[in-house]
Amino acid sequence: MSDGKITSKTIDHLAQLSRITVPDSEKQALVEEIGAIVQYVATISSATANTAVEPRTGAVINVTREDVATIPAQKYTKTLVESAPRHEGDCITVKKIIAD
Amino acid sequence: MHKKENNLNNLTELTIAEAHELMAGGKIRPQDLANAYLDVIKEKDPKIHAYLEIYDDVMAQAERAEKIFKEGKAGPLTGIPVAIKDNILFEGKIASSGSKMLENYKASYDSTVVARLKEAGAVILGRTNMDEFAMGGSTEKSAFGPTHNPHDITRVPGGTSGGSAAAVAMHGALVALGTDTGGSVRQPSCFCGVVGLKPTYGAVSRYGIMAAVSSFDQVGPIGRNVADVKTLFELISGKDTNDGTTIESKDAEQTYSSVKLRGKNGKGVIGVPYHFLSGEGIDRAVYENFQTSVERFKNLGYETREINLPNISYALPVYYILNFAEISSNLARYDGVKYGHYKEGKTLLEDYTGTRGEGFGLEARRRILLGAYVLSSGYYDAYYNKANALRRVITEDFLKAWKEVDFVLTPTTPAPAWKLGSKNDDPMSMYLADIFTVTPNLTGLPAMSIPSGTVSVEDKELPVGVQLVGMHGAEANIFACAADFEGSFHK
Repeated sequence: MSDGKITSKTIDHLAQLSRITVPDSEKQALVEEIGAIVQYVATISSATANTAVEPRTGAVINVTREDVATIPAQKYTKTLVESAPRHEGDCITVKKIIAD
Repeated sequence: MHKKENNLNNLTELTIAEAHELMAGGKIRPQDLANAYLDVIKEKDPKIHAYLEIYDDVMAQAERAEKIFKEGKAGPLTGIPVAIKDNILFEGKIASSGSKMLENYKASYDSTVVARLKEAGAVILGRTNMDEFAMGGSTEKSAFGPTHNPHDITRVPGGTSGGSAAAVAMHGALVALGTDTGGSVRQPSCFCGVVGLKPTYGAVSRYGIMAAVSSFDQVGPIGRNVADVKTLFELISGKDTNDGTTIESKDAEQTYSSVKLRGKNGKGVIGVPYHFLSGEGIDRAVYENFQTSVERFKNLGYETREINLPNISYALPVYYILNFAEISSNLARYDGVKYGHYKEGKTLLEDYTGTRGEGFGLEARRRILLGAYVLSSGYYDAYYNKANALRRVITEDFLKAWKEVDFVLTPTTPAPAWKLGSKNDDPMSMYLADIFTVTPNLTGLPAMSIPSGTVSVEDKELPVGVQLVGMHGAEANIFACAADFEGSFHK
């Protein structure tokens, strides 16, 4: 991805970064569409405005709260675990990632 | 509001206030109102496909509303039939965000907006169709088939809250909730000829709303008139301890407490960025309708003034860069482990890549890849950082404009609803349809789409709308101005 041109290799790299399978049949269309979209959004490089402005978006302010549990323990455990595709007891299960 | 003699025969024509009065006076029961809406849905929805599901407990909800009336505790929304977008959690009900990824996902808890509707005794009819994970502009990107525009079923209803807008337009719900990330409440409201509000960022809680672009998303009400939208907004807005981004409405007012409407008769001054409306991308009929709308505001006593928003032409590319970046981050949670679709692979990594490749539709995958691109090392500064800086510059432009005007007016969309399928092969042309609606999301400003009449396309009259943008926290001003505009069509 060094020269900025979108190629089939770029799509493979982006797919890998995104943890997503892209079928070969879709690759050529993605090269063209993503190429056109990137070309369009790159027009912001021509903006000459002074971008050293105060970082604010309207009335939004930072809010912090104490790091304390606000929900009683176990209240949602069963519901949440059961919505996982694979689970055992109170745990969600995943494949082993460390080899024997 | 003038009384109609046939109110009792035409329950789905009622406004919230009219329906409330009839229920409070014992003339009709919430069950009658709910049944009237269910009948319309049964008749019209097979062709429109506004709903993904009608809940099985609608009558039980209506009976609960009747009890609230009998106890004398009814509020404006008690017994009012409401539709909710498919990305809003309602405990125990499926919420799929229009995606195969969450086709069978049942909400574990109530979103704050649903909790408030329940507490008020509203009757939630069902969940409405949407573009997958709120990405698109036509509701064609739903994994469960498109919604059709009630004004012309060969055309799109707009999106991403196309199901909610179509449900209200076909009288299949009295009001509805959508979500708006870059125009997803306003654009379908415009295409369907109804009123839709994107509130000030932080005005409405997003607790229990599936995140698309967290720095843009807001829940917004849709209705057939300004008063109904206002009533629903008043119920759902306000501070929520479960969402740290919510603001007390008084905080926002304090920010602008020195700014009152400045027009001659207290009506306010409306700014029009003509320099932004002269491009070739705007449909001629839409532009003519817009000019007529400006005249309407003048006749109502509003002063209009040309304003300059020097960086607004960058709003759309800035919007999309930030959209891709935040989408790719927010959608990282769908991995087949915690909930939703799961496709087994040989390794955990293959579980992830297979699940995501199979569960997400094409537009979602395209934006996830684009997000990875604009956030990748080497491009981060040129895209993501620069876009964030320009977002602040554009916001400053609006804050400067507020020194001269109280509102900014544009068309809601550059063209009326397009034919189903006509933009499927060209994602860029779909993105360009958001040109006027993305700016309020970038700046956090409240904005409303108000019907402004129709334009003739191929012998059909298609609705168009104007977008009224106000200062942060100034929804009350928008409601007043929009109600004036709406009233001018009934004179």
